Amino acid sequence: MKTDVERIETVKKGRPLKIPDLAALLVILAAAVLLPLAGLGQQAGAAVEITGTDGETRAYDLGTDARIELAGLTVVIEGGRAYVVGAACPDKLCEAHPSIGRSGESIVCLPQRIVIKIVGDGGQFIVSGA
Amino acid sequence: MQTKQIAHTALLSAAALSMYALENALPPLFAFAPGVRLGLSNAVCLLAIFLLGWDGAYLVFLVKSVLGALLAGNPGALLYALPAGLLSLTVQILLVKFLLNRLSLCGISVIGAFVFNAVQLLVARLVTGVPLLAVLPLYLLSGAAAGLFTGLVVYFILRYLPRSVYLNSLKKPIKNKNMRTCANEKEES
Repeated sequence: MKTDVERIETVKKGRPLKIPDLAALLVILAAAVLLPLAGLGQQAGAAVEITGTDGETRAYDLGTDARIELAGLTVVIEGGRAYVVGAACPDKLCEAHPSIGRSGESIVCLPQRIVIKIVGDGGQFIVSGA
Repeated sequence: MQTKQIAHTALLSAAALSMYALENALPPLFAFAPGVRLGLSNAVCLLAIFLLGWDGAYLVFLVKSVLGALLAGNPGALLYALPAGLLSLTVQILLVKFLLNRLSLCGISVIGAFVFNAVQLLVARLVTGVPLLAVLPLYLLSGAAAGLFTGLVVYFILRYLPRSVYLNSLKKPIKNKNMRTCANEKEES
């Protein structure tokens, strides 16, 4: 077992990056690129749940194209995916967010306190109150 | 524990806490992912493994995490940071102890950052129930970048650290003709 002094000497003599380090880095980078390609094992969602400024949650079928006008922004459902247009807030982060369609994905608009979330597994969701 | 080691532990804990506070004061690197940080305080923890040994490194980490979370007014963050940090530190200590000849500090730090992010997302998944896999690639990439940076920082600190700083204060100092002690240097000059 090495002493602490010997370890520091090892670092002093060694290079800042070695081959096994690059291998570890490559594995992590490959995982970061491949995971989204593999679809993350998540299933396509069935409905969009929108929690509005009033705190009430309404659900909309993801299979039916629609435009949902809310105070401050509009949610567009198109081809099984949802995205935001016409945000009234200055930063427009929610507009810049890529469209969502897989279960668990969400877009959050902090200034308006609106949460748009994909729920349910494909085809199993019964839309209520729509 | 010797007085000297207590002082060194306190010094590194203060350094780690300062880094933590500094980083908290800065705006997040990405607006949509507030959890993505450079992890400067982890550089001090990694440094502590070398300068204080594993027990000292755990102490520095605990002081930094607990006091940092309390000072930042966010004790809830401990729920994620403690298990993630403890596991990440344990992995880094084991790598330093057994694989230092094969891996460099950058590799050790990158693997540590990876473990930290993975455990943090896992705990977040268990607590909130929301599948956070969608943000995993972002955390993996930012963790790799932050780990690389942290590793380089610690590498250069150790590389240019004068031998006189650690030779007389570390546990189990070894006698070696090639290593000059503080006393020797004074005599020569």
